[in-house]
Amino acid sequence: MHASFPVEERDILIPGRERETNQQIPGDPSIWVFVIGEMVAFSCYFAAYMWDRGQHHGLFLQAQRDLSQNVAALNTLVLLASSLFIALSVHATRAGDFAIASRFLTLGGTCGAAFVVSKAFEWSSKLAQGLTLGSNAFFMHYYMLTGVHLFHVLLGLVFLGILWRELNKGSPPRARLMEVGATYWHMVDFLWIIIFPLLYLMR
Amino acid sequence: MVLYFRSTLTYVWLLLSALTIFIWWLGTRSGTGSREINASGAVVVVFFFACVKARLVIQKFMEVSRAPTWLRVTCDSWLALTFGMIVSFYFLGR
Repeated sequence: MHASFPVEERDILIPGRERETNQQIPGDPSIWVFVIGEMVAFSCYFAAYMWDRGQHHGLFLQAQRDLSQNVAALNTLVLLASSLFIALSVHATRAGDFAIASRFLTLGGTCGAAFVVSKAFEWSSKLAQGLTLGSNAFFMHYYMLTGVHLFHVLLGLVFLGILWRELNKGSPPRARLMEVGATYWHMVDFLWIIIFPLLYLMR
Repeated sequence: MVLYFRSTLTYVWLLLSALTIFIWWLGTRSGTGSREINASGAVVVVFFFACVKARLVIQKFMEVSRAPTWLRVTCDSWLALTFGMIVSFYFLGR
């Protein structure tokens, strides 16, 4: 049935066939150039944060007490759940269960949206306390790091929307597009995994 | 749909969630109160397990465990360098 669609063979997901071969780049090489670039960029940001933390040790410890570690931990669990759903969506797509893949994608996107809403509440709460970007060095880094990460989450949600359309277009989805979108989303997840202890837990 | 949860990915997610709760528990109890957990020791443990979590996401969810050697080495090197950098800066800045 799938053969009736004019899609390049390499981009068609054959139902029930996993990506079996070893030594294959997940998604597309171009997304990995982007991911590695982001890893380097965020590392530089982590280094800048740690440098400033060393310069203002007492201030950072004091300012950190204004953050909610419990909400941040919950955010982390929500993003991890979203990553699981997206990974399962890719698996369901490979198995040819496009409707189930779409449902997993929706669940993943819902978790991502919940993360955005939670961050919006967190920011508005801090701003209401008078803690702004210019308050001190810690909050400058807090808003910049969480803001840049939040931008990536929002971009990821756009990506997930494109994948949802791909899954619901009525013809077999393109394997690479699904894997590229999932790779980006998981990158957003593992960057938050480092940001969470860096901003919220380090004493 | 439920059948898909019977996958290694679900066990990886459970482990990731358990490690998150452990990191949160350790991080929120270090450096506070009279029965405090040694803060610097906790930072090393917390970041070690944060990097373990990031590696699990990269290896299992992003499927880098089945990727070419250069990509696996690049990702592991980044994790090792990030862990080393954060812990080094932490001890230098105390």
